[in-house]
Amino acid sequence: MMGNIVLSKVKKSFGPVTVIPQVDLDIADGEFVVFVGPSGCGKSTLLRLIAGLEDTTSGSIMIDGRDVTDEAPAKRKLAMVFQSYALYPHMTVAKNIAFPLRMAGESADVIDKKVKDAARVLNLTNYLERRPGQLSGGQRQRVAIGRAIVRQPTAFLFDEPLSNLDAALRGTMRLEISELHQQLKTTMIYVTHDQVEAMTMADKIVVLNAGNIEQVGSPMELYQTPKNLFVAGFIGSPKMNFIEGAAAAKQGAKTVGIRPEHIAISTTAGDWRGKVGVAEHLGSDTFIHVQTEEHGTINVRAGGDVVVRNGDSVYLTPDVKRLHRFGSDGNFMRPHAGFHLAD
Amino acid sequence: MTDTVAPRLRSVANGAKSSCFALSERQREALTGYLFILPLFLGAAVLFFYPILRSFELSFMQTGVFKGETFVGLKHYRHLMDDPKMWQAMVNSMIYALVGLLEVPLAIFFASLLNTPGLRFLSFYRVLFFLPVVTMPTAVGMVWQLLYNVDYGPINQGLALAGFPPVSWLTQPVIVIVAVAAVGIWSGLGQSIILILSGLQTVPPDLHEAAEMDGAGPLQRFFRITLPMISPTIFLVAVLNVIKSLQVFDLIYIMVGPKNPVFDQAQTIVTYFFEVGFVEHDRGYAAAIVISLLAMIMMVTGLQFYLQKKWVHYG
Repeated sequence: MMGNIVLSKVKKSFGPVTVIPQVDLDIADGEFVVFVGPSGCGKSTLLRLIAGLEDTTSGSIMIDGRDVTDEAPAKRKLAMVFQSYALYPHMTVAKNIAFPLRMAGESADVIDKKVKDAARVLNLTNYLERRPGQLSGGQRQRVAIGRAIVRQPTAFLFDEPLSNLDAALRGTMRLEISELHQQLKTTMIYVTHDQVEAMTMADKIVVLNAGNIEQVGSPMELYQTPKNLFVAGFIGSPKMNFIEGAAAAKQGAKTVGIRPEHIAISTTAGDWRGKVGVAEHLGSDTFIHVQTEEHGTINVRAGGDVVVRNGDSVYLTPDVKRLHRFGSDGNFMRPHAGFHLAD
Repeated sequence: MTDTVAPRLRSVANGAKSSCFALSERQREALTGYLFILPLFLGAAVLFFYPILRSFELSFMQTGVFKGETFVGLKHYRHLMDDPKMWQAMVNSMIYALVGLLEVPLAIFFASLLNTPGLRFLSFYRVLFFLPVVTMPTAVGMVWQLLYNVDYGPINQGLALAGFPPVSWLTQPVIVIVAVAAVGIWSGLGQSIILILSGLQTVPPDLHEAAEMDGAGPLQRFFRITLPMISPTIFLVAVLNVIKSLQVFDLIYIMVGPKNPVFDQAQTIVTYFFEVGFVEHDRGYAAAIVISLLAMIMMVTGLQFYLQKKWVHYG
């Protein structure tokens, strides 16, 4: 079963409020696509439009060449995993997983086999007779995934599925979903506001802002060549440093950006002088917030062995090859020869 | 009690740590809790426990208007077993309660309509359905008496238009119970709708969406997701409804009344209790009737609680 999804001029308005002005997107079969963006940017709405849980105001949605714009959700052959898991609390795990199969009129033998297969893949065999209320968050998430995979859908839709889990479990489940994708090779569309999830899981990231697609590309494309200030600021953690004013103007740009990991820190010499505000020691890394005279607060990502304290005088030196220039429209500008930020 | 508790209370109030009366944190918490429920407990003791105990005591006594109370043991309970009027009243009460249970599916139906997404004038409809609940039963009974009138009541006129013969709604033994129970449904429906509606509104929309994605149609979603999800509310409404029905008095008394030739065949347990206790002034026997009613309500409710294990889902 293929899983090619094409969105053409898709618009969504709720009354007078337009949430998605116009979106065009092509998702190839088997791709793991992540919709990422800040809260309220329309990523969940876009997913729900694909699912059929919301009607499009205009435009069309094609799945495997078939126009499904006006089709009911069940007919689109998609499966969705909800943020809240949306498990039926009055049914056992087995009945939850079997529910879509029963709705499809499958025979009892087929249902039994598929439920057991899904439970085995998701390590749920011992929990089949339990109710969702008797499961941990991770197990519930697995049941939700199980309910999705038994249908053998054209594509999986995930709406912030890990946001209710603690950090450790989120990491584990992230890996499990990625492994599941490699195993099933089915198209997956995954909505998150967590850029770590986006960067680690996606074949292709779609960055959304106010209902518009800002950039579509692989995680490294977005990291290395962000198309505009929004993408540059959104992708990467800690955030890219932006410098405006005379220093940027000298480079023929309105704004120049430099990622925290592309700035060297020294206690003896460098391009910019500043004082350490806060140093966050994470073990492997140290995030240092330096108050500079020229450019305000600059965030630096240094190695875990760097020892600096609040109030220490330090010098910062940006890696000029890694500078990003943005014009007055906020869009990326190609670097010119002799590009240099410091005087 | 004063001797032992008062100093402890003072010690709690003063925060003193006397070696004799020092309370542990747990004891202090418990004492505070008991003090909070004390007013309610006193109220319940005066208004509920005492009347129940007194009725229970009276049910073993022979009383009269000018007589004192004489202990007669189980005489009244034996009499209950042989009293055809009591059996008739019990059967009528059960019929009334069973017919009254129709209120539950009706409430589910109307509440589901009111729960339609984007429904306009919801508050207006709520008021409309709730209005009979806050209307005086006397007024309700009188208006329905007119509606049920054999000769000029609009219900029989409607039947006549449809080619049916007139029905003596309030003067035929079994029909009268069903007719009054229908009024009971009409006047109590609003409350049940409000309860069911609140249950419906607690069903997470995600569940409906997940079911929709899973291929469930509107009816399948309603029967497989919505109903099980609101089953605790349905159970509550059913229990309250049966208790209310078994205690019916006002509608029967107003719509049928002692002067109606069919009244004896239409009596419920409470109207019979009223007749024995306040017309015949046999308070001892009336107390036995009311204790029997209490036992009956407890048995029926107990049965409902036993059966709910099979169909109520608490998630």
